[in-house]
Amino acid sequence: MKYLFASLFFVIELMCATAFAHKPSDSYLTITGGEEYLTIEWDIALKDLEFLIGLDENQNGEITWGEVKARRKAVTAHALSRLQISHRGYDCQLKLLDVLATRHSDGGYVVLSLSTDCPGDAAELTIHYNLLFDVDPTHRGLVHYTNGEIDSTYVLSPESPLLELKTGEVNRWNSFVAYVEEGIWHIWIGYDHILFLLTLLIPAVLIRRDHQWQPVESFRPAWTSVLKIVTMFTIAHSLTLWLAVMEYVTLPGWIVEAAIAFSIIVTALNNLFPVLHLSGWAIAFGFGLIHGFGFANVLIDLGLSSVSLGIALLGFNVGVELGQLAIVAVFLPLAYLMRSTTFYRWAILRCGSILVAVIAAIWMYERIFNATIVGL
Amino acid sequence: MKRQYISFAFRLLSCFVIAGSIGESPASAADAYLPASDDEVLETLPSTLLSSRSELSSLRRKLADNPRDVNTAASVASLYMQMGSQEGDPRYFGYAQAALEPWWEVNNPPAAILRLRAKLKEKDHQYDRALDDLKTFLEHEPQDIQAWIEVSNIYRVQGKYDKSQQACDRLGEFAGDVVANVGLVPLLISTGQAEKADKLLADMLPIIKRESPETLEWVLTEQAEAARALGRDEQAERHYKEGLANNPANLYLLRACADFLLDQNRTAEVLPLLEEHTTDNGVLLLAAIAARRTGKKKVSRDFQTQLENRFEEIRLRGSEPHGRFESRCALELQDDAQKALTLALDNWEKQKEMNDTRNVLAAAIAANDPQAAQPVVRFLKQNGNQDVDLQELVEQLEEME
Repeated sequence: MKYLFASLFFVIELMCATAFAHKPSDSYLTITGGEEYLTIEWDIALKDLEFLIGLDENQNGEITWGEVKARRKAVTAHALSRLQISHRGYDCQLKLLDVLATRHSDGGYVVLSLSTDCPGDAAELTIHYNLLFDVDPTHRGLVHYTNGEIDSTYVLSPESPLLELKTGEVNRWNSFVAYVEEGIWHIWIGYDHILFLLTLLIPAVLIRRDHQWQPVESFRPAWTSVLKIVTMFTIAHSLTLWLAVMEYVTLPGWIVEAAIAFSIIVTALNNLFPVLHLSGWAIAFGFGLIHGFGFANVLIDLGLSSVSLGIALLGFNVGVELGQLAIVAVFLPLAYLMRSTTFYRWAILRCGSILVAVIAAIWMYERIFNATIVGL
Repeated sequence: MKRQYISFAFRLLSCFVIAGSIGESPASAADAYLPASDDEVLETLPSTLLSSRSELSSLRRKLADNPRDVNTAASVASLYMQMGSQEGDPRYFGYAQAALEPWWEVNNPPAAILRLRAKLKEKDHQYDRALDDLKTFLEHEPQDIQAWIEVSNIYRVQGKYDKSQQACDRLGEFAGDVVANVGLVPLLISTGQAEKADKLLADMLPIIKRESPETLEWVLTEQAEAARALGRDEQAERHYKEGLANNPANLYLLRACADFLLDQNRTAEVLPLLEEHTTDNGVLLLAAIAARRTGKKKVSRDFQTQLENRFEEIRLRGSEPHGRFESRCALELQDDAQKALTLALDNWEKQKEMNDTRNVLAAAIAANDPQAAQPVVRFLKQNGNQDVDLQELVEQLEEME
């Protein structure tokens, strides 16, 4: 019987199988540019250093600051033998300036503050990192390059220990592109923005005469009208996007969402009963202000602290405009071709607007009462 | 639905962050500082590391001389794995993996290596790969008790109850009932037979006490779980307390007991229980919830920030935080039911233990989306689940439809 139970010890342990308390081992390498020379701060976990070179001199299970200081030479020698940074083929000389302490989520870290003789504005750096990789294949080196407005993070692993770091514009460009893509994505998935825009654009190929909708005579007035609407919508939402992201004005999410739905209802109703006596561009401007808050909530949730605000705002906005242009590019030619048909004036303008108003009313109800009716 | 898309977009962006174009300064690091005194303790090492220090260092020297020595590698790896499990610190699993490195990608390594490799893969939630290794191992050692129990457990975690049952049956064929019950009991609790599990445990108890006292903790935990599933609250509480008296640092038990107290609205008792163990993410999460429910806003915010920082640091290194914890954090701390639901459903694809299931149901209720929980409800019905806590949520969902 004893034999049978011998291995059951593992059962208890197995129950904790899904309990990951921390993360595996990481080190944090922060490279700062912008001054005359690059400077580096390197956070290495004390538990890892204990494993690598031994820190707990008196073997009491506690690593004190005194013990770290006593092993400072060995720590630095080991760490520096595992890191090479070069600039245009020249190996930067890394020198220890200071040893400090810090904490990350999984415990105490030593901070090696290093000076280099590589220029602070180096445009291309090659980083070869192999701390701990031979004794812990799950270890990662997290490189963070920062230089004024530029901020970028990279992960180094045993599979890719080498990093060609292009500082400067490339990263700024990458950030910008990432935000542009986010902007496009948001328009693409944000049905309410698409619907609002389309509702506004439907009458753009028509003209109101004697209480009747007539088709415009040429492409030019249709195109001018669309251009005005899109431009005004853009100016308005850019304005509030900026105000909200800078935290000059903040509104609760559900109010914004409900107001966006309301803006669609009003726009659709105005297509049916043009009582507002406002041209499309004025409506676009007024309600564009509300839609800007909606965009801002998305952008804020994307995490803005990570990148220069200017790049994020511009990139996201450009993305939103590109998304809008794509919609216009599809809509306008079709609408223009169909403008004289009864189908366009009845099915699209009237029935379409009624349908839009109904959908938006449901959204508004859902957003105010936090209920689900159609699940959109 | 729209919110779901948006949260998908957020996750897309977090991919960008990891891919390395934009990123926060290294996560949540506090600023570097100069400790005030040489005596300031910066880190406490795991007690297992201390007790096996000399053994480890001689083994590591031996392994350095001959890295392909199977026995030495296996010893080093299992010592580090024990440390990793007891401390809940995965870096020690990394050290263990390094000892197994010569065989990590090999198809048919020696049996001793296979067993450990399977365990490490399981720890990394690579369940199918762990099962592959265990099956290869069992071809060498068809009567290995522990391997069969692990096979049964992994299948159970994945919700493949038939296969889990088959593994228990195989085990029973050669190891006898008491041992087979170790695999069977948790399976019974998940499949509506907690009553039977409870009885088996009561029968096992005297034998375990006599033959294998180190397994007692497991018996008490399962007894508590069975009683809780049956809605016998007093009995469950007694077992939780017995278990914790036996080992106050059993993280699994601490979390289970805290969950139980939260469900009983005995929130005030939770914080004192957990306070000293918040290095564990699951404990930290429950502590934050308890603090929030008792109106300790600052403590709760503190815990929540710590937890979110940990998630962020995990993301920064290109991994994903445990969906079980992240989902519950979204639901109970961030008040984002949609995000909680998405995370819970993703996690449920991989793991179907009680808490994983519960997360989906609770998030679906909060998000007012009973449809989303349909597959989970169906799964529970198919498997005859009768867990009272889960059934209560299922009823709420059914009323919503």
